[in-house]
Amino acid sequence: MNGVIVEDLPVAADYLKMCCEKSGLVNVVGSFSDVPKALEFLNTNSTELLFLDVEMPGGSGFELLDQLAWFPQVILTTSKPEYAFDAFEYNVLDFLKKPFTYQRFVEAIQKAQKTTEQVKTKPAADHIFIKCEGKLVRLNNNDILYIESMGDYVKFVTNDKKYITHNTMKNLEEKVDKSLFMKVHRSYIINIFKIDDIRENDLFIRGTEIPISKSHKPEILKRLNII
Amino acid sequence: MNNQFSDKSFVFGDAIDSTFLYSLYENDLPYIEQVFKATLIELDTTERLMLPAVEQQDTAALKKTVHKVKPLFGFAGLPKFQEVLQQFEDACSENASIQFPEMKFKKAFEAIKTGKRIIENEYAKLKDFNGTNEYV
Repeated sequence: MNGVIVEDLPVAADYLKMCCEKSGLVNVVGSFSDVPKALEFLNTNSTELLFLDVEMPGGSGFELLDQLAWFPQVILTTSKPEYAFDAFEYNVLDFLKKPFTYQRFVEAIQKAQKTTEQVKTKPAADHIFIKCEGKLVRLNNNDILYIESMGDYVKFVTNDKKYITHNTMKNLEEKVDKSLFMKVHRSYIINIFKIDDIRENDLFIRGTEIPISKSHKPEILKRLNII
Repeated sequence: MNNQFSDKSFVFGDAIDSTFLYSLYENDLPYIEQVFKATLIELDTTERLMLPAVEQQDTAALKKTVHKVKPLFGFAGLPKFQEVLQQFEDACSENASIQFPEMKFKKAFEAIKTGKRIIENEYAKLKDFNGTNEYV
């Protein structure tokens, strides 16, 4: 699995990288020593596992979690046992008190692997939660008409409302229920059950024209029940 | 981990908890040397940051600095020194607005200085043993 390290003590960050490499179970795709840089990376790159220190420049590890647009598995690394309670509040997977042994590290990774397997075998939920205007908003899949890219943000369009959240199309493509949603253009993911009609290079959902890219067209036609 | 130097003929000084050290790094003496080097660099920075906070008896700043540097001693095989620093940190939390925890601070500051000396000595010995020519 892919992992990111957010730790401002170089000795601790290097030790974590060494443990990841030795285990062969975690591929470290990023390592950051402050919260703002880590956030910038994490909000544009989907990662399965996050090794997170608490007290760091630019904010705490918990503040980073508050600002993340999605929920990775988190292993908190800190030498302060008092943070264990906050770790529980944030549904953190495990808590490694520095310095931890390699064996202890492996135990934490095995927990992460088990959770990942459980998520993969779980049936897809009929809803998602998105972070919008400082709160978590539940959107039923069936209410979502389409999702549109807006740079570092995406817009979820439902029958009643539009929701803008910090996320990327790349991340959403992996996370949405593929039995309902498909990408038709680099800037659009649509709910295939909401298509009203399809023209040459566009489709229409509730009066909104959505372009279809050449590369996605064959797949769209394949998915539709054309008589 | 690199086990090229898997040679327990290197003996750490009595102050170093070598059992603990090996539990973190196995027999990777070159890696341990790098840990010592990185630790000394961090401790130099910490000492500089601590001086103004010590003069002003700025408990919050000292607590933050000690919290940051504390695990270094664990990583360098001095877990008991880490505990001494933890005690100062705990004392700062308890006495936040009351008084500066003078005694605990003296112990912590002494632990940092003594710990640094121990690590410097061990680092020098390890560099010789590993045949490293690089200097801090």
